[in-house]
Amino acid sequence: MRPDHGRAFLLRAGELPGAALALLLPVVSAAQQPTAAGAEALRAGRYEEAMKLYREALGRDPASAPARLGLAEALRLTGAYPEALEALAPAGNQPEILVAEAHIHLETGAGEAARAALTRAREAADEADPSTSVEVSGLLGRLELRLGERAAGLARLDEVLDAYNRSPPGTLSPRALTAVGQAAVALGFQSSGLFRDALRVFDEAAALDPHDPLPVLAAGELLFDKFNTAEAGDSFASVLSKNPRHPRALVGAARIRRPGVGGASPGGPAAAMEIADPLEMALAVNPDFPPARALEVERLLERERYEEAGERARAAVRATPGAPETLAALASFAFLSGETDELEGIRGRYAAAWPGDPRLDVALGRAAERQRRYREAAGFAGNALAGSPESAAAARLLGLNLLRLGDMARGREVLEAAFLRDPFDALLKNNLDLLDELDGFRTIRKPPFEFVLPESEADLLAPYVEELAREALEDFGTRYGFEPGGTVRLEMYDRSADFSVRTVGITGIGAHGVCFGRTIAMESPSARPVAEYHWASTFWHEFGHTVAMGMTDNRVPRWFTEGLSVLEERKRFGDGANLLFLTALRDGRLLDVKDLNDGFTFPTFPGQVQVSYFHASLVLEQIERDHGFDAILGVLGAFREGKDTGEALIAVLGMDAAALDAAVDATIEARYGAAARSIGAAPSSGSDRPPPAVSGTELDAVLITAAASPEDFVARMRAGIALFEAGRDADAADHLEEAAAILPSYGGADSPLRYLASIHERNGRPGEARKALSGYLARFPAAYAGWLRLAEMRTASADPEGAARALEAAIGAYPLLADPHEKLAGLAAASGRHAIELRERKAVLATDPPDRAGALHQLAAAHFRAGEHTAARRRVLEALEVAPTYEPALRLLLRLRREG
Amino acid sequence: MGAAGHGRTPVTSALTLAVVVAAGVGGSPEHRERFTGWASALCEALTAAPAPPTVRLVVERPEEAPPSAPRPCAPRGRSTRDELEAQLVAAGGDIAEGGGLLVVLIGHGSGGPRPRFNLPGPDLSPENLRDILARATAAPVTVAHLGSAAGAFVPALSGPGRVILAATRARETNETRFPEHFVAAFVGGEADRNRDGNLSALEAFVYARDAVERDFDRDGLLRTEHAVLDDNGDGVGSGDPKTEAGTDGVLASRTPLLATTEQSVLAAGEEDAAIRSLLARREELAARVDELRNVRGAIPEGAYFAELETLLLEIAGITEEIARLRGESDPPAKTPGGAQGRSGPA
Repeated sequence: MRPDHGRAFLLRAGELPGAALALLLPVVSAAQQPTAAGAEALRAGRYEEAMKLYREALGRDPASAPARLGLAEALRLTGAYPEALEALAPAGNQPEILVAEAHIHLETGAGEAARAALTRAREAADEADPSTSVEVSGLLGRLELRLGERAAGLARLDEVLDAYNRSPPGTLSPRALTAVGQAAVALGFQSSGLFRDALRVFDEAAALDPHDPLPVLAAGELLFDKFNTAEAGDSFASVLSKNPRHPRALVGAARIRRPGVGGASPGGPAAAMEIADPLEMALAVNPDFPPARALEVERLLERERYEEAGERARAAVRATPGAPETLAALASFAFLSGETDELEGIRGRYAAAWPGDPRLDVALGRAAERQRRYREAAGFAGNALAGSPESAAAARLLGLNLLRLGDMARGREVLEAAFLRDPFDALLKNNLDLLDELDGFRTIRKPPFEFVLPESEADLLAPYVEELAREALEDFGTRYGFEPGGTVRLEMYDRSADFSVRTVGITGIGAHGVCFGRTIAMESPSARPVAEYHWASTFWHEFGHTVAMGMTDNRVPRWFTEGLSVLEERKRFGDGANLLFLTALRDGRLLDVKDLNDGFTFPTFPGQVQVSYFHASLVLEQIERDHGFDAILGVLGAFREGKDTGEALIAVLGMDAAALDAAVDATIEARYGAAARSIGAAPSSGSDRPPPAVSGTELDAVLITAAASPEDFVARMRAGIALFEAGRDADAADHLEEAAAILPSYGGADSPLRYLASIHERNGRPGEARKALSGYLARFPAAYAGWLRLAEMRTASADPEGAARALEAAIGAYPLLADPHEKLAGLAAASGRHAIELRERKAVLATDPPDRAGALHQLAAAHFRAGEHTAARRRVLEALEVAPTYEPALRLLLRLRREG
Repeated sequence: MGAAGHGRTPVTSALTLAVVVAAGVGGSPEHRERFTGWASALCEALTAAPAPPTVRLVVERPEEAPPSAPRPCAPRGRSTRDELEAQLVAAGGDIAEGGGLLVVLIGHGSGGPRPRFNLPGPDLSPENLRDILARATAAPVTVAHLGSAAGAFVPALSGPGRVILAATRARETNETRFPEHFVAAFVGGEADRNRDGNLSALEAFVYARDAVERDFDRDGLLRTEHAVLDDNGDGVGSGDPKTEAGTDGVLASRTPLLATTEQSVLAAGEEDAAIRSLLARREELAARVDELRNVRGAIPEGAYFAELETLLLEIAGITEEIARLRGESDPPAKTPGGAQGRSGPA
């Protein structure tokens, strides 16, 4: 263990002495004017202008180091690496020129060349000027770490910190300070305070030279690495506000703000980041910038566009053959596309060039993780950590993927070790806090399942969750031939924030459930308001992923597994097209099958993810209908063999993605086309409901619109709802019935059938009310109150069986309230179904009812009826413990006593 | 949810209560209607009980009271401070021997250095109410302030023989959900947790407090009201009152606000000496059950339930004997179930 640097690395707060500031103020002679103008152009990202001005300055004064450095910087930033080196060559013995040369070599991945330049710079440095020496040592130390010379690198970085501590305030240059900060980051694994100190040194450097983007970028990258994306975004935005064409800042911004919607930093995008796609801009400025090219490949891989990703990755490596980023990108492609030989070749090449840099294995781990191949992700992360024990990225990757694999103990151990070194890592902290929370959850083992439930809800949820899980296992097992092959772990979270941490490590995602293969995490019903979330269908959906991932060795594309899960969810619980889907269809925004992954990973309009879920399910439905269920099994098998979407479809269906598209489009057109086209200008894509109902004077306008567009579903709905709320039931029913006829499969929360049910009921037509309400609930099963109402209607019509089914469905929507449990218990008791009655009586008790004694007595009586006298006696004693003079319970106690 | 204890020795009787319910200024038609509605509902629940108390109801606009309101719940006047004082003093005269006074305030309250309960005309301060109560009666008093910032009234009203229920802490000024549930506690009998036929002040408090908590949980909201109860005279309300000696909750558990069953009324007026003796013995045994429950953690589980069962079997035998002496037909030992919904008390 190396010594803790917290002892020595005491930062000086400090104000810069006036004399030092004066030294920094430029004194510009007439001959230097082009240089000054070039610097201004360079700072603003007008690189071509800067080059011109610097060349002009060099023409006047070939010995001008600032002009030479400026020209080389402009050339480097625009990717003209050989020209940049050429520009520096004539003055190659000056330390600052050699440092600039080293920066170019480092960026292009020429490690040994960078080392040579830095070594020469060190030798040439003026001993009286500690700044150059500190800067060079910082760069050299970090390079040595990456080259696998760990001891030498660490020792050198220690020296950098010591040099900083020894130097009087104001004596180190901004670049030297930045090097100090980066040394602190590199050594941060040794002392938790170093990351914070690094940020302070970066601030110090930035204050000394507000024009230099380097310390701000370094701070932004450190913050991003610690998952402080809001402040990282501010750092990148700050650079981009001065230079909107800075490639490194653009890549930083691109990492925070994914393209499409919903990808902004949680802290809110700064104005300067409100640009089309920072990555595209970065590549436009510097087409060979290795981090930008690597990110481009990463995105293509995420979209499962392997062919394009491969082309881009190979081109990137051709441009900068030694850059670790591009090699890692090519390796990620080779891994995901199954190019094993190519992968091994790259690994060998990388190991020779960068033996101490974990970036390749971390990139491979992340690529595997993005494609839901968590076991392989953990393997790569383990490799990275073995080679670079100080790598926080590797530790995070390993720990999180172990947790996803259900290996909670090892995952926790890894994360705790990482957190000890870096308590400022938000992701680590969130996950460890979550694990602490999970300690208070109840784990119920029912092989092959392991249920992890909030303690306060476990009594209530467990019977239903277990029952549904059994049903799912049997149902999927029978049809898909699926066997889990290990424990299936289901975690239910009663706090959305905990669920979010479990799923991505940071809060703020919008999904209800996520599947990591044999580990499923989802929200408990209590995490969401009643009728907004259907826990049972969410479990069913996630278990569908468990099946699809299990049957393909986690190689199933996102669109296919989502389509399969939604199709299964629709079959089991019902669902229909909503306005999001219809407006997307109307607006021509449904994606082709080959691009359907983008709808999930890079959505381009609000609601596209939901649209893509439903659309994907229609594709799966089409495959099953035209080719039989075995075709779905066949496609899954093809994915398991490593085929991509196009190959799998041809192999199993004998058609390409375009032909499948055509078939799906025809079905969609037949089913929804006319209705979608009939929808007027409003709502726009992204709205899942008709515009709000109107009243008063606006009512006339709404009726006129409906009369003018009788085939417009939305216009009919608006008219129907407005009339319904005005109490004009007969007129309302006309419009609502028309709406229902236009789009019988509408699955929105405010279906016309919902209103029609109310109208029929209050006008004394119970049979029609039941029918309408049943139709509504078949398409929108989350409507808890609707199920309760249907149960009441069926009870009133002497249909206890139907009432019981409705109550079961209500519990499927929301099991945490006593009402449906009590009613179902009553129905079960009346029909002698003891097991159900007992389950429901226990559920009532688990809701912590105000009348606990009454609930216990009812449960005791249910046990008694089921012939379970021991349990009945225990429960009746518990009832009387609360209410010792409660007469019905006393009578039951006496009876139990007398009957033995 | 808290588990309140269940004292079994009333210090007053629900049969001898006098009640004043005041609905304050609504500030809007909706609020006025809501406050008046809760006040009326509470009055109706009280007056529909097996042994109804006298209820004096004052509201912001008596003229808007529905003509269909039951006669005992017709407003006695406008809920001005003077009228409230007059009704409280009159209610003091209604209190029968051994009885007490229940005062319920429904409306908006304000906190800060000068807390107030909003009434038409001058508002009511804690000191006003303290002084009026001093003039009205020397009997035990229960005050239920169901409005916002109700906790600010606790210090001034606290004292021996006083039970103060406040819907919120002193600084919580949002509109409250507590009154809806407090009123509901008087309807249907499910708030009578120990099924002894009397709804105690503690049971009403716990019922409403837990229901508010469920409301906020269900709606995914941060709780903006935390009800408190003070009955040990220290002027500090407790959010989780117990029945352990010296804590808030003991007096409230022995302060019945409503007789929920005919049996409890019968028991209170029992004239047959033999039955009275049996009732006394049953109460004694029930109190021993309470004591036993309080030391449950200290006894091995098997021994605990054995002792519990012994006590309960004796109570069951006594209950059968009381029924026999009263000439009640021996109720069939049928088990509940079959009907939908909650079964009521026997």
